Amino acid sequence: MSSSLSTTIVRLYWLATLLLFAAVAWMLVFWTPREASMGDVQKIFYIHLPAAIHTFVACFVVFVGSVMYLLQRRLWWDDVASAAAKVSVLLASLVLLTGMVWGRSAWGHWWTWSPRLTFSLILWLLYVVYLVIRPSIESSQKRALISAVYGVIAFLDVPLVYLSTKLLPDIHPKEIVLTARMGTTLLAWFAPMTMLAAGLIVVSFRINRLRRTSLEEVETEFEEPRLVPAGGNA
Amino acid sequence: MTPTQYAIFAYVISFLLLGGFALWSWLEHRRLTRGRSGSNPS
Amino acid sequence: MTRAVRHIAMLTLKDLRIEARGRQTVGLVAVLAVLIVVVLGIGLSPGRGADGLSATAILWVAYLFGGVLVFERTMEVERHDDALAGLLLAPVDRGAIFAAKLLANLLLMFAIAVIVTPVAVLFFHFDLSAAPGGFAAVMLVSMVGYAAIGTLFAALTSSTRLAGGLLAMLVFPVALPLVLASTRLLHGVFEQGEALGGAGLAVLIAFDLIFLVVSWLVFEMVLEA
Repeated sequence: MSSSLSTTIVRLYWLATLLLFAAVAWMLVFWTPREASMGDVQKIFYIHLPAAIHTFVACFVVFVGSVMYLLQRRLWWDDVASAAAKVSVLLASLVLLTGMVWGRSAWGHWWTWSPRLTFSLILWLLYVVYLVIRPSIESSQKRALISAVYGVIAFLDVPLVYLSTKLLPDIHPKEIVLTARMGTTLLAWFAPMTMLAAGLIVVSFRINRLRRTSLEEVETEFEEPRLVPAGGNA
Repeated sequence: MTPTQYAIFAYVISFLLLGGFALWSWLEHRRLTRGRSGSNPS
Repeated sequence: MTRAVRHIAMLTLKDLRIEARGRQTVGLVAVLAVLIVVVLGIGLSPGRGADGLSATAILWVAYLFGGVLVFERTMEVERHDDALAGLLLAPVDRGAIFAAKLLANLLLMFAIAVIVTPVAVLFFHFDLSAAPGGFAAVMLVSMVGYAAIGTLFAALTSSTRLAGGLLAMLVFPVALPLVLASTRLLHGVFEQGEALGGAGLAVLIAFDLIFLVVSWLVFEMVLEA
């Protein structure tokens, strides 16, 4: 971020993302055919699916950051995990909202306790909790430790949530037959969504780092003693 | 509302959400980098 | 192996002895759980008699909140006079410490469930006659996984200022698959009249195993730091 070159690269990255969004939006509106039975509301799918996939990716980044923190105890990893958690909540909110609008149009209800809706809701809740508990833990070491353990458990919880929601009665569209153009549009939408998700994680991470360095001197003074007594490191 | 209107509604809230988050991140990032005594630490 | 078992038994008995000598966790938590049942019962049209399914929902809320209080209090014991530091210095495997805490928590939760469940059945005429054994089995198996998660997070949060509220926030969302799976299983039993198959219980037992193994592994990692 110091040199003008990297600033230029960052600007080009976001410009490219914006242009790609414009391009796929054009495809979506003018080029992609309308789905026969559901109408235009099916077009929500093109943002819904990439957002859902990237939610998992972001959750996985939280998991990796958490595991690495537990292994290395470097706050750097805590910043990675919490940045990814922010983005996963953002994307999960997107999945939930677009899913609800779709459900309202297709089935007439904003909300049903169908497996996938319930799954998305629980996933969203898991990571919202990750974010909201963090400010209430004063010591940065303790905060990182609790977040890391939670980040690991929450990620391993995801398949269990999926399995348990399978026990609910299902009305979700199981398979949508995509024509060639629909498939192309869907693939095209992955490009800007991936760039956006990755970019937002990096920016959030940088914000975390910047905040950390400006607080560092204060925090090291008030570090809490660890669980193990002094010199008792096994 | 028609399916078309629902679709537009979904995309509008999606982009408000994404754009809002991106804008907030950008402003926050700028505030944090500006506040550091002018010079740019690498 | 036998040494580990002896350690676990010793540590569990220590917690239970502390409980018996008047810390009164069971009494306090049982009353809280009964209060929760009463509040929910008042809300859910009293006098009409609830079916087995609402019994599951109401009791789950009571068990969830009761559990958090149990985990918190059994861990609080270790905070006093740095008892945990002493425990960690003792030649005891960390896994044994976790297992003992878990066992103590489970036994206390069972004790509370034994008090609260009949009270709830009495108050609201829950009809569990279709499958009383299945109901008990599903609830007991679910509690094992919940207690594993609770024990782990209680060890982490006990030193923070917000211990109680924080613990509830951490444990509830993670426990949701257990709640969901168990209520769906009991839905099949009470509403559809299905027999509680081994497959249904196997899902819950698999959840338990995952929660147990992960909590145990992470517990060791967290304490060793």
